[in-house]
Amino acid sequence: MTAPAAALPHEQRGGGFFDALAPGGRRMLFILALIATLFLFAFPAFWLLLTALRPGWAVFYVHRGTDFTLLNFATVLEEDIVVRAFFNSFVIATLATVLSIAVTVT
Amino acid sequence: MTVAEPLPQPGARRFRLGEKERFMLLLIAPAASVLILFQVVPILIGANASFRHWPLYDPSGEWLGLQHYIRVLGDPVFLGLVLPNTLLLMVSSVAISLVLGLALAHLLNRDFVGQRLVQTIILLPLMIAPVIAATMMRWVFNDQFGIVGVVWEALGFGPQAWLAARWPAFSIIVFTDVWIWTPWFTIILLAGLKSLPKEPYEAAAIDAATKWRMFTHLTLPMLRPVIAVCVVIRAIDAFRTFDQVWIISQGGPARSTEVFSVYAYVEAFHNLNFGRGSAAAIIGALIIMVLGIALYRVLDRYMDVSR
Repeated sequence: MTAPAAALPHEQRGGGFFDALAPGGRRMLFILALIATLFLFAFPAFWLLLTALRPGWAVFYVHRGTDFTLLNFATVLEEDIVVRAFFNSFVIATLATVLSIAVTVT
Repeated sequence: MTVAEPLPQPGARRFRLGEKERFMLLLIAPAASVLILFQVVPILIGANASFRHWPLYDPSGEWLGLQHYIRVLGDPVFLGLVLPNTLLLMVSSVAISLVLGLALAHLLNRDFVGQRLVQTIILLPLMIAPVIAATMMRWVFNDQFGIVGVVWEALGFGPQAWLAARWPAFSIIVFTDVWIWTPWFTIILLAGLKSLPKEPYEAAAIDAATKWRMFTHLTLPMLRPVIAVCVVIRAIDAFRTFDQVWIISQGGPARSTEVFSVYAYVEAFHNLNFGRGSAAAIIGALIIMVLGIALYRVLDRYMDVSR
């Protein structure tokens, strides 16, 4: 009298593409979409990190070669102007946010 | 029964400068004056330059009236190349990132293992400065040492000049813009999705509706206000895109991917003609204002959601 709790896919009335997939198929599609998205979003950032870790002459062959170095980070952070630029950005961002919110809320 | 004052007509706006209104004006005066001082006054000062003869090598400042504006609007590059490019960039970037953002928001809407990690990774493009992202894209698509070229040739296709032709370069610019701004759509649409009530979906499931119909008939109508706000804000912003275009192609091979912000920049800071650059910028601002108001009016209808 009462229908079974989970109907088999081919018994569902008006099943669409996603509903017609077996439960495993839907999960697979989900995981594939997730992996594709992650790859697309993370790849340039990952490439950025990889380029930063290569020494200067190896920047044109980031994908080949095995030299990795942290020297780039050290060189950049030693520059006084860069540290000051970071500080400036931080101050500007904080002040701009706080002041805009203050002006808007009041 | 005496009535102290006539009741206000519905729909008619009666502006009275009574005590309450004066008090309200007094309260918003500080914020309004800050806004005027820091936003309106600089624009007016810049607009002043657009009416005068003001190249850096001959700053006579004589009043020219609308001559700069006529020159800019009559420039065939502006009308035939810059404006279409800008509008195309705006429409394609907003449309693609809206669709992708909606799909990603759906992906993130359920709880699964590692959801926080995925959310953080998806937010990465927003955390990188657009200048850096554009530089990264430019290097990745370089035809000598870019990784895309390497993979492309490893797959067997011939070498491609990614940035040396108009439409490949334009596609790369749109791709970079989409890459940077899809996470923004994703967060806002995810918040919108999480605020939707569950009852309509349960009712639809009882009626054996497919997931796609649930999406088009339930989710989309209920999300209309959020989508409208996102699209308007992002469209106005996309019209002003400068970083990505300038860094990836400097306006493209022979000005073919130039957008209006690049046009104004080149006029003002490369040709050192501040008058014309300012006129170009003001024309662009007027176009954005008209577009923004039109968009907002059109989408304002969608702000009322029938539940």
